[in-house]
Amino acid sequence: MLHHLDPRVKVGGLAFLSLLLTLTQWQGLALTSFVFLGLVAFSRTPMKIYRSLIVVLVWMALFYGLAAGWVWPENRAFWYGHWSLTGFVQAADMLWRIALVFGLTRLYTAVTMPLEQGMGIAYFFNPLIRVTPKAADFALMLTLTLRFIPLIVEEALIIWKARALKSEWPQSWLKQSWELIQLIVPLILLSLRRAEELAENLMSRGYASGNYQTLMLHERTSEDLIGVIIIGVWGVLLLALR
Amino acid sequence: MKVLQVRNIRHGNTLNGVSFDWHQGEIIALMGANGSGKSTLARLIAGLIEPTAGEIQLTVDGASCAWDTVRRWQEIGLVGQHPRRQTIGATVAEELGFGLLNLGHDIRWVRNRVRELASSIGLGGKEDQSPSTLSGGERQRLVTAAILALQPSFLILDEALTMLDARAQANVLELLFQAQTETGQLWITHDPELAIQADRLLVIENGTLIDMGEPQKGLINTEMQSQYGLGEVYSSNPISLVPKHPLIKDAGEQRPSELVQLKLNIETSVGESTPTEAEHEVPLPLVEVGVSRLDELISKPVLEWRQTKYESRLALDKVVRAGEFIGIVGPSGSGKTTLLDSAIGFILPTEGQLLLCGEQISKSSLKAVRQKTRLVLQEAGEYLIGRSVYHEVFYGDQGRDQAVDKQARLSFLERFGIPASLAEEAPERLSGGERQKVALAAALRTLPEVLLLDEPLLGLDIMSRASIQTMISNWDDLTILYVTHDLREVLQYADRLWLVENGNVVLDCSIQSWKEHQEQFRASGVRC
Repeated sequence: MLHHLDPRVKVGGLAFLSLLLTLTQWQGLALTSFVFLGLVAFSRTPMKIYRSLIVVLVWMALFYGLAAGWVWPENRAFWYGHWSLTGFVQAADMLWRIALVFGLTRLYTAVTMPLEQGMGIAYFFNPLIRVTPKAADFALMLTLTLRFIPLIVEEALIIWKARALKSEWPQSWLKQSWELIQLIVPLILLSLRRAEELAENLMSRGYASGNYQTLMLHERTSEDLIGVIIIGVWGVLLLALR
Repeated sequence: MKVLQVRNIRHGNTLNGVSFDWHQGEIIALMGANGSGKSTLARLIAGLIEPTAGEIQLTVDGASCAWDTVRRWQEIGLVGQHPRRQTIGATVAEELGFGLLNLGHDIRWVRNRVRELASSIGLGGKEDQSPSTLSGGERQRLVTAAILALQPSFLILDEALTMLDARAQANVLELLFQAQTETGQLWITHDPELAIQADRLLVIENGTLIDMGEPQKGLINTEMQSQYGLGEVYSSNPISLVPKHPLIKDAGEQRPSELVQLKLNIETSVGESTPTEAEHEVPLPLVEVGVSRLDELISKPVLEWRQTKYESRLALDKVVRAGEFIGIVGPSGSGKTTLLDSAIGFILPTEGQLLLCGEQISKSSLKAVRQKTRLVLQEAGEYLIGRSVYHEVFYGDQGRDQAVDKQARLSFLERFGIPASLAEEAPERLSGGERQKVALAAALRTLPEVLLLDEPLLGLDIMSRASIQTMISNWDDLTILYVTHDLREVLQYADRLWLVENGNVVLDCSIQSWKEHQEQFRASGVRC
C-alpha cells in the first residue's frame, strides 16, 4: 500500500511529521518509533537499506555525546567540567529525533520512485508561485534534473564505449589522466548540446518563466484518504504529547 | 487559410536565398544532401534562430499577420529525430499537457484532455509513467501527439521517422495524416518511400531550393534522381529487392579488397617498400589466397555463441563463419544492439560461452577481442571525441606520424565523402550526416577480422549511402554483422538474415529464401 500512495501524501506527510518530531516529548518519540517499525514491516522493505544509517548514527552519537554530555561550571574554562547524566540524556534525545527523521526519509525513498519524489516535491511549490514566479522555475528545474541526469549518464557511458573502441587504455597514470581530460571536453559539449535541445523543445511548447505547473493524474484513492487520516492523527498525537 | 511565406532566407554559408510558400494542409517533403541546410531551414522557420537576411511571413486569408500578434510556437510545431531526447515532461501526462497549460487552459480541462490524448495514441493507463519507460516508437508518437494537441497550423518533422521501425512509423504517419487538413506538414527526410507520400517535393541544393512539384514525378524520373541524388523508390524498382547471388568462386587471381588496397597505398605512398606481413593488420595469405584456402576459411567459425545468456536481455546459440555477412533485423528494443555489444565484449555472458576465432571472450581477453573486431556504434556521429575530424579518424597516432602520411590520409577521408577542407574542422561544427561519415571512417581506418555495424547508414543522404554500400560490397573477406531496420539495405550483400525479437534469434534464413519469410519480417516491423 505504501508503494502505491500518492507521492504528494508521502512528501507532505514526511515534511509535516519531521517538523513535529522536533517539538514532541519522549512519549511522542516512542509512539513514532513504534509506528515507524510497523511501517517498515508493512512495506516489506529489506532491513539492509537502513544499514548505512547505523554508521552515520554511531558517529553522530559520539559527536553529540561529547558535545552535550560534557558540562562545565560558569566562568570557568571547559576543561574544568565533567561528564553529566543530564547531558547524555539530552544527547540521546537529540539523536533519537534525528534517527527517526532519517529513518522516515529512508523509508520514503524506498517506497517512492525518484520521479514521483520530484513530482511530489514540485507540487508543493505551486502555492509559492503566487508569491514569486521563481518557485515555478525551481519546480521545473527539479523535475528536469531528474530526467536530465540519467540522460547525461547514459551519454557518458556511450562516450566511454566510443573511446574503448578506439584503442587500448594506457597503462601509465599520466597518459590515463590525459585521456580522461580529453574525454571531459566532448562530454561537456554533448551535455551542452542536450541542454540546447531541451531548451528548444521547451520553447517549442511555449515555455515561459514562471508558468510551470505540475500535472499529475494520480486518482485519489481510498488508500490515499486513509494515509492522510493516519498522518493527521499521528501529527495531532505528537502535538498533544508536546 | 494560412500560408507561410519564406522569402529569400539566408543563413551563413548554408542558405543562399531560399524562398517558397507553404499552405496550411499541404504536405511538403524536403530532401537534400547532408549539410545542405535542411535542419537549419527548419529551425529558422520555427523561429528558434534568426536568418541573416530575408523574412518569414504568416498570412491569414491573404492578409499579413505580424509574429507578435500570434504565438509562433503554437503556429509552427517542430518534431525532431531522436525519441529519447525530445521529451520534456517528467510523465506522459506532463508531456501531453505542458503545451496546453502554457496556452492558458484550465488545469481540470487539461487533465481530461490529456486522458483522451493518451488513450487515442495507445498510452491509456500510462499517464503517470515516465517517458523513459516507453519504446522509441511510443515516445515519438507521444511527442507528435503533444505537439499536434496544440493544433499548430504548420508542423515540421525533422527526420522524425528515421529511427523508427516500420510499425512505429506507420503509427506516427497515421497521426500525421489525421491532422493533415488543419496542419500543413514539412517532412525533412532522406527516404524516397516517405517523400513520395507528400503533396510536393522540394530539394535543397547549393543553398537554394528547387521545387520538384509532385514527388511521384520527381522520384520516378531517373534523370532527376541522378541530378539531385534523390535515390530510387524501391516499389518502382523490383531489382533492388533481388538478393545477393551465391558466391561464385573464381579460380583466377584473388584481388585484395578495396580497404586492404587502400591501406597498402597509404603505407607505400611514403616511399617504403612493399609492406611485410608483420606490418599488415590483415594477414597477406588472405589477400593472395586461392580457391581451396578460401573454402577453408569460409567454413571456419569466427564467432560462436554456445548456449549463451546475458541475464534476461539476450539468449544465443549461433555460429558465424569466416567471411559471412549476417543481416540482423528486428523491431526496436529487440536486442540487436545488445547482440553486437556481446560480440565485442562490452557485455559478458552470464551463462554459456562466446568464442572469437576459437578463443573464449572473457575479461582478460578483451584486448585481443578489440584488435580483431571493430564496432560502429549506432549514431556514432553523435559521440565523436577527437579535437578535429582528422584527429578523430586517426586517433591515437603520434603527431609525427600524422604529419608524414597526411596526403594519403586525406585521400582516405575523401573515400568516405569527407573533403579535405573539413579535415581540421571540429566535429561539432559538422552536420549530422557528415559526423556519421567521420565515425565510419574512424572505425574502418584499420581492417578488422570481424566488422560490426549498427545502423551505419542512419542519417546519411542517398549519395553517401550509395558510396558506403559500394564499399561494403567489396569487403568479401570480412566477416560482417550488420544491424538495420530496413532489410533492403542488406539484401544485396548478406549471406544470411537473423530476425531478433525479445533477445532471441527467432529466424535464421539464407538470403535466397528471405521472400518465404517476408510476412514474418513485416509483422516484426522490418521494412522489406
